Amino acid sequence: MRNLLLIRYGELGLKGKNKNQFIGRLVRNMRTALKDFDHATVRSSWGRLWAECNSDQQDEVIIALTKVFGIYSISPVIECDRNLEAMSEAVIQIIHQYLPNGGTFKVETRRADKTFPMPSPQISREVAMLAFKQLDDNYDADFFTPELMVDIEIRTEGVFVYGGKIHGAGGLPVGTGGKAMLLLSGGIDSPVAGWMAMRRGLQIEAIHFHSFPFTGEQSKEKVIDLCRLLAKWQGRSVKLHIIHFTEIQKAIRINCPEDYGITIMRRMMFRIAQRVAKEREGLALVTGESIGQVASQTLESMSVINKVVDIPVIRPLVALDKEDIMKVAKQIGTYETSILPFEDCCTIFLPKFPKIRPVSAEAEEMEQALDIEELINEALAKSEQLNIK
Amino acid sequence: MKEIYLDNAATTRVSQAALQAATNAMVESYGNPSSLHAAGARAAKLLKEARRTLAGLLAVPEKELYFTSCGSESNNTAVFGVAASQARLGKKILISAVEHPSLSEPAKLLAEKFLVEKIPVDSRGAVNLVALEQLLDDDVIFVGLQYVNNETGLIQPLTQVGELIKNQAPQAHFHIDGVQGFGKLPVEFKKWHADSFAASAHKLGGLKGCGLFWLREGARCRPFIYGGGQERGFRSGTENMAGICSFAAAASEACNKIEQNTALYQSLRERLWHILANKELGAVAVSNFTACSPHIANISFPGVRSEVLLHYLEANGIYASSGSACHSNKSGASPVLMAMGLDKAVIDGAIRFSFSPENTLEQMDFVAEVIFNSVVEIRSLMSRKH
Repeated sequence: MRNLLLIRYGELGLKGKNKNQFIGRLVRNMRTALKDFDHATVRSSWGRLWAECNSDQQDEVIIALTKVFGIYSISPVIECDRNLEAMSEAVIQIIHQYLPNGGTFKVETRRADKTFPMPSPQISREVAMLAFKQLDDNYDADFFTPELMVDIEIRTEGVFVYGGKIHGAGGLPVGTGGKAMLLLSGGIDSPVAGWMAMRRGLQIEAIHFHSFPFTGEQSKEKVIDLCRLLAKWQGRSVKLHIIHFTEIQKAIRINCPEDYGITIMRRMMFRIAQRVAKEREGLALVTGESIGQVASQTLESMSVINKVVDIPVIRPLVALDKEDIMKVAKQIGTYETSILPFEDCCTIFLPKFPKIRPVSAEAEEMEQALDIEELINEALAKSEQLNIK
Repeated sequence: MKEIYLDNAATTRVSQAALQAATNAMVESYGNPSSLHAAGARAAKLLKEARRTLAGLLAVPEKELYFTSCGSESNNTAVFGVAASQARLGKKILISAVEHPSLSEPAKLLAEKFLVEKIPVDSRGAVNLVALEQLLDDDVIFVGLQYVNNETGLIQPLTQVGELIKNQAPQAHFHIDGVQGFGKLPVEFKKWHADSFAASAHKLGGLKGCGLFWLREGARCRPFIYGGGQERGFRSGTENMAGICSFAAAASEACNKIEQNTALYQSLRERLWHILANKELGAVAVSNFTACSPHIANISFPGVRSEVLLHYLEANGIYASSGSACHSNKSGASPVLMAMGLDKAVIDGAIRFSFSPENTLEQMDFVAEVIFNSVVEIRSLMSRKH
């Protein structure tokens, strides 16, 4: 048995002349997501997207598709014979599945094949009447705000009945927005920021700053695990740049005032990230910063830190509360990994009283004590690149 | 880079004798001891020999020994098993404040139906006998206590505790978590008035995944795992023959060399501490050396986060451990060291070194030097003030 799934892509429909390009990418991403399923196919026809798979794979195929950005919802489709009884059977099956305890529904028909001898509104009515005969009192019709819409589509190829939407991940297909570099610390926020950026169609490469022996092998493993989780959403491997940051940490610690330590550390991270971005043709940096969450995330801090780069810095979490961020982290499966208790480079050198409102000129002056170019070159020379699937 | 492994309280390298015994059980006598054919009989014979060896080392009858999957299973079996079979006798369960989680977590689960109380400890981590005396009454059905603490090496006064239980609460079951003590110190169940005892193979040179549970005949404890009726119905599941045979071999080696190894550990500990104490690092001995088993030395360097120092040691091929993974966003401080009433700075800087017969005095010189250099560097980076 073959099962058909209707895929809706919502926002993509607004893209005007670029629409085909977006849909082409979505189809490719869907095919990648389904490449491990034998016989699963994706096609674009009748102005919509369809996935087809063996019926015993349907549940897993749906789960795989809910990880593809650009898909808004998925509906399993029932194919039935070209008569009203068969249509009503299919409608009942869908109603039982999505409204097991009763509720309101509406049947709507699209008759693309005009050889079917009955106008669409009449088909809807007749099928609903037939269905009512077999449904108990818990079910009712509602033309304006039904809990469940059941669609019947009559085509020369067959009759398709579907209802009940399974929510997709939304957003835009990964790859339609270009490439950006994600600063990935290993905490709760940065993976969520990366996920949100991907959801807007960006392809992500991750940059992690490693400070052995201040942070251990496990913290590196943790970041690799997070990349593995993000790769599932990206639909392809995530390139991870592990930057050897120890010497820079030490140099800052020795040469710069403690209260500016985090500000200057972040400026060094941004400088390095921009270098990697330019090398890898990334167009922006993505960070997990959220206004006011910690000292380095005040507007003043962000602005002083931002000064050292000229490419855009995207902060998807900028206006989210920690609670909201944690909720997303749990939904996308990164939370459990993020909370593993290993030191990361941001926590280990935390000053007692970090500067909350740093001033650019002061930071620049303090940085005179550092050989910035040399430090960056050395860190990059010792960096390592991994492709995480 | 040569490795210096000083984390033997976490686990040990498998000894040659244990490896040989395990290999034999896996490749030669690989049958299922329950099978009726010759291959099964060969395995059954090995199983019997291993049990006889371990029973001999513990000075108990063979029929009182049961093999389990690990020390944690043995501890779980004791707490849950005794609580299930003795519930009608009383409602009170006592454990010390410094127990391993494999004893304290099951006890916590029982707190819904039982009154679980923790025996306080003194600054060395030893149970407070006066407090214990007050806690012991007719209602106590279970007392669980470590022989040797896994973080500090402290040896609990089992003889005095056993006497107190015998006099104040004779109905109570006295379980001893011997995971860190077995093979390091002599066991004397009679003197302790013990009812059960847990041990683990991988702490003394055997394979991971094998533990033992001694249950005094007559002591009541409901089994934990049911099935094919192995271990005389007390612990079902096909026997982990490789683990069991490695256990017997490793335990024989360890128990026969207790005196010799103790002397070695003492000299290692002394050497390490002597150098560190003289280097003006402000090192604090968390382990009270006169009250502790010498194979564990817990030493703190206040002001140095233990995790960072561990990575510095690791970079030099030296492996030790910290009592807990400390994380700035989370209070992960060791409950054991907290129960001893230590300062936060001491707890955060505590490192556990634990020895095996493979360690040498020369290693201690090198380790002390690395620690000295690392602590100086970390302190200079951490405590900078402007």
